[in-house]
Amino acid sequence: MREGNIRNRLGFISQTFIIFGVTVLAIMVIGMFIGEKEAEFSTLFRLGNRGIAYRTLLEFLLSSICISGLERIFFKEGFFENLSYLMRTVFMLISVTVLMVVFIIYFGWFPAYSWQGWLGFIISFSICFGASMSIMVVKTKWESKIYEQRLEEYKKKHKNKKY
Amino acid sequence: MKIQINEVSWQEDTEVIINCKKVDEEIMKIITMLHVYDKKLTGIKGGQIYILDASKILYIDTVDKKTFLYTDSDVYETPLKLYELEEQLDAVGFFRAGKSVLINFNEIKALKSDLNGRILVTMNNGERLTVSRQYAVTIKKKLDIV
Repeated sequence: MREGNIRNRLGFISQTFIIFGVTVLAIMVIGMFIGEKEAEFSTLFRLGNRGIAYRTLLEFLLSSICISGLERIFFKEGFFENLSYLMRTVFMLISVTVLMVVFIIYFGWFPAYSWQGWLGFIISFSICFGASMSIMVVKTKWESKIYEQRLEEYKKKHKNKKY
Repeated sequence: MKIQINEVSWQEDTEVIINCKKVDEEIMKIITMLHVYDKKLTGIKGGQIYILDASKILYIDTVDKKTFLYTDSDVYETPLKLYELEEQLDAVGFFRAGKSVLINFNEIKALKSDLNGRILVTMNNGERLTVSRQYAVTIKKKLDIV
């Protein structure tokens, strides 16, 4: 039980930092190309192409913690256990979208009146969601193949074992 | 309840004799416990008591505080709790696959990875069970994946 709790906490921390790392990496790459141009438009690029501000990094960290928290709420044992995986994913998607909208407006990641900003947000959000779903499907198929293979090996190994 | 133990040097097999007024629930539980040590399980079906070979049980689950044993085609009730069976049946290949289910690993036909780290287990009789991420680790350990 204790081992499970530790694993759970470590899982939460590692997931938070994976989201944080990917976000920083993405903004870093984008910032290198358009940072200088968008410095006035978005607080994400307030330092132009010289880097990401400490304040922005903390905002990213906060958003990563919130997303990990939402994932725990929707997918952890006990919570919403009667909902199907699809429904949980839909609710998770809606919650993350709402959270991101709040962050965009509150932290001024881009001006709320800018349709180009929202269009960019929708496109990048869709690409990220599509990519993560595709990765998850590929990972699941690959894992199934490993299970199948290992189970066969296990059966062969324990074929003549009588209990 | 009185417990009497006689050490008999010439006795080859251990013999347990229960003298009681009536075979009630408590006595049934004692009998069942004794069978578990012998890798046998006592299952009740239609008022009849059956002695089942533990290795022939596919999985065991708890519904409404009652424990059920599932074989290829039958379901039996047992007076024992899941935690009472868990430790004893470990040697036969059973593992905890959820808060209320034990699965016989040797009766698994196929495994399939599901989203969110869960594993879909198909038993030899075609029944499908889901193992949550928390308990999927046991399967992975058994298969040397982790």
